[in-house]
Amino acid sequence: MKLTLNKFHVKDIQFAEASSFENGVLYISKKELAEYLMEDTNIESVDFDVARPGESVRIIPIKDVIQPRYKQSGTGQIFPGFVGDVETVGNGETNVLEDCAVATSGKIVAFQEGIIDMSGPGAEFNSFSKMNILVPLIYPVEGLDKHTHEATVRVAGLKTAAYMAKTTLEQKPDETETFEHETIFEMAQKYPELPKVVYVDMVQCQGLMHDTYVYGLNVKGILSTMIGPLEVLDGAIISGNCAAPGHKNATIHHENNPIIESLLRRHGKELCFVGVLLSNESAMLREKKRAAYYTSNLSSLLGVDGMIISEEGGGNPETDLMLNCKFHEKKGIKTVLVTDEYCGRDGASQGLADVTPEADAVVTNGNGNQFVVLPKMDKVIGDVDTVRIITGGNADSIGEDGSLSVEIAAIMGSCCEMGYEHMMTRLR
Amino acid sequence: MKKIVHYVNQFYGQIGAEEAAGQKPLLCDGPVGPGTGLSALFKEEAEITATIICGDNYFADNQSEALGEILSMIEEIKPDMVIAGPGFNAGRYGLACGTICYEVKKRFSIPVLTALYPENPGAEMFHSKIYIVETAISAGGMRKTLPVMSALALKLLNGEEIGFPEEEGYIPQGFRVNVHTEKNGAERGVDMLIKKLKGEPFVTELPMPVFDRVKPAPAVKDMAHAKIALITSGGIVPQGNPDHIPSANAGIFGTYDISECENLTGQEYMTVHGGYDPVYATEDPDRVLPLDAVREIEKEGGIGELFGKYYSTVGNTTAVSSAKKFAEEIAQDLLRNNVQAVILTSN
Amino acid sequence: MGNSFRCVTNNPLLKERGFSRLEYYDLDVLSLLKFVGEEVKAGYRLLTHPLTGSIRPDITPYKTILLSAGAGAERDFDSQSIIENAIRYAEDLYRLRRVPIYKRWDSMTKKDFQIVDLSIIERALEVAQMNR
Repeated sequence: MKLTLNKFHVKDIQFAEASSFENGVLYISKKELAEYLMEDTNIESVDFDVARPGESVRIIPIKDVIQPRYKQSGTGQIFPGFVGDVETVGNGETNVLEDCAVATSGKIVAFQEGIIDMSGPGAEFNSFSKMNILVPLIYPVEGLDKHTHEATVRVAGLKTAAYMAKTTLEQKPDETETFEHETIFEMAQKYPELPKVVYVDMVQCQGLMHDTYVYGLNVKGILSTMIGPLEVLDGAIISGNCAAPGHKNATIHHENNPIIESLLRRHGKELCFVGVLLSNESAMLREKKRAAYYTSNLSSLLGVDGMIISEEGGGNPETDLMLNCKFHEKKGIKTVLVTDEYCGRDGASQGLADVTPEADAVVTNGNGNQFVVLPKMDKVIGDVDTVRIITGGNADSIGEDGSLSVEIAAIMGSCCEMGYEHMMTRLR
Repeated sequence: MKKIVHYVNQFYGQIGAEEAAGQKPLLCDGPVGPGTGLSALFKEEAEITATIICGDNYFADNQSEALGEILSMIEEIKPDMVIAGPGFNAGRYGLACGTICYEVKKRFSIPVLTALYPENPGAEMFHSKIYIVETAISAGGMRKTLPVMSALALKLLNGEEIGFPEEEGYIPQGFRVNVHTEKNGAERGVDMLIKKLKGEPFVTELPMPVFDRVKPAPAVKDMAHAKIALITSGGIVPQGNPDHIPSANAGIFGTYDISECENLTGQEYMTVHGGYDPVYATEDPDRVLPLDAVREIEKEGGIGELFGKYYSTVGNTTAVSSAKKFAEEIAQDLLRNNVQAVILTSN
Repeated sequence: MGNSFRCVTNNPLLKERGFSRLEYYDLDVLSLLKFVGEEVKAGYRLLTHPLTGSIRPDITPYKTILLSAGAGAERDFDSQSIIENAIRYAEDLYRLRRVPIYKRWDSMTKKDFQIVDLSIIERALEVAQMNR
């Protein structure tokens, strides 16, 4: 299997009469895009706004961040199960808008956070602040229940992303990157000397605002399963998770899963990347054990030597993380864990809700409890009211000058547990 | 030039060894002992203008008075900084160094610095509150420690930003802080996995807390027929300390016959533990190793029998790794002698 | 309907669900976790993780935890370790601010937290049912 990413760097997004991509500028017809999104009769109205790097702009509350992609060739279509049919993806060519994202905003529940600041101190905590972001503001019909509301916003975001990238079809990309991934039998013959490695991608599936979809299927109650890494890059995994913005895996993280990309880039050189296993993060302890046992058995059946695992969220997922680590290590499979921490304002607390002595190789993507003061921005995209509500906002979190004192856990993707950002904690 | 006051104990203050441990706080001009080495390293940037010398026992036994005297000496001198030690793994000295530095920092808001072995109780108590340079276990590490101390002291004096423990040589204070990295988390994770697979050394970014949880063994069902043994870390040994168990940081344990003994007396037994007041243990060693009480229960038929030997070591600043090693050896011996349960006492 | 589990909650929305063994306590999440800790000591097993969902225990005012219907003769080691860790984790987060966030919400926001907590517990039961 081979997948080529045709990368188009976006320098700016502008609204125009017709949608197109020219000389690095993405022109969007609000009217056309709105009509496309409003095929969903649950949407009452929709508007769009753009945020650019360096602007005095805050986007809040953010539900999901998505990178625009569209398939130039190959089977299936991007975001299978939502935009594309459920046909297998992960081959051919996919057009990708780099330095560009869709951020869906809209209040599903009152307490929702998720901030992107395009400038100032908050901008240092994620890569999104360096991107040109299109924000669809989705207003649902009255009386829509929360589950449907969430689904409506989720799908509208995916459709927007696909629509944007579609403008680049048949154009020459700025650069390309090709990933190759053989069948297991082929790679075993090609790289007999290299250590065999599997990536365990923990997917959350606990209920409203806590779900993940694979080819459109909610992964609740699934047995651990295997998926090709190239499929993930074509949007086969979608986030329906809109809690804990600092360490939730947004759709853009799945599309660019940095662990998958790193393993693919070293595949055939330093290691033999066998594949991706999806392990369920359930609320029930028995399901957690079942998932970890089953995943570790799949690793055994594949005969791998090593495993790297990422979690989503904090608290209960640490039990899944540690169980997976323990069961893999017991089978002699060397394990590395990728996580983040809540170790208190001063960094003195133990930052994980579960631990195991087998976890001797851990990557941490930062302490979400670090406080940061975000100055008032000239413009807020999304919901000004949320700024007041955020983190239980009152005198404690909003200064007289309109600045916000928040934990970086409120900033989208700040401590991404797939290791998307460039941060860690150090002991001092 | 910045003024520094240096604190040392009677030994490093060149007054005497254990016999001078009762020395009251003494103020001397200029550097003494390790202070001379430090002073040389400060070059023209700072100087030790005074040294306070105090006996370890005097400080331990009269802490509030000793501290009061020392603080008023410091208040009078008005130094820019106070340095104590290095105290290596000396328990009483380490506690004095930590206490004085912490109190000075609190009262006078000036920088302080000491240097201790990480397992020194002074380090355990104060590492999160003050900077403590990490030293070797004994004074053999003096030559390596002084340059690290002087460099960190000058940074503190000049109000410079203090780097991470690995760079500055201090014992981690226990705070995790966010730092930006060149490689993203995923690249670091895959790097770590490759190293782990190759069997190469790697450094975890988040060490798990120390797991010393011991699952308790099931209760002894039939105590009336059980063979019981006694173990103590309270340092009770036959008079004369035949195995020369040290009073602190013990590297050995002793095994002593009590098959004919009903009751421990101060004539025949003693404590060698250096971390507590030995008066009451010397009066009646049963207070630490309760042989008399166990013999009584044995007579009443509460237990089957008392094993004829007991095991003893000194827990005072003894490294966990040593304690673990003792436990493994003792457990083997207990198994060989069909002992079903033990009573462990400290001091 | 007769349930084969105890449903321990401080979420008033659960009252409407008709669980036969619903135990509603007017406690904050940390106190509820501590209560569950005592029950685990008494031999009850955790069926759900005490920190379900991604909303932190200092942020959500509501939590529902399912426990085994009966107490075992011996404590369940896994349950005990998980609840002890959860209590420690929540205690640390409660200390983060002078007034923990969960105390600050208005009634509309509280209602939303209740809905999310209920959704998670319904999902847990649905999955358990599915796999029966």
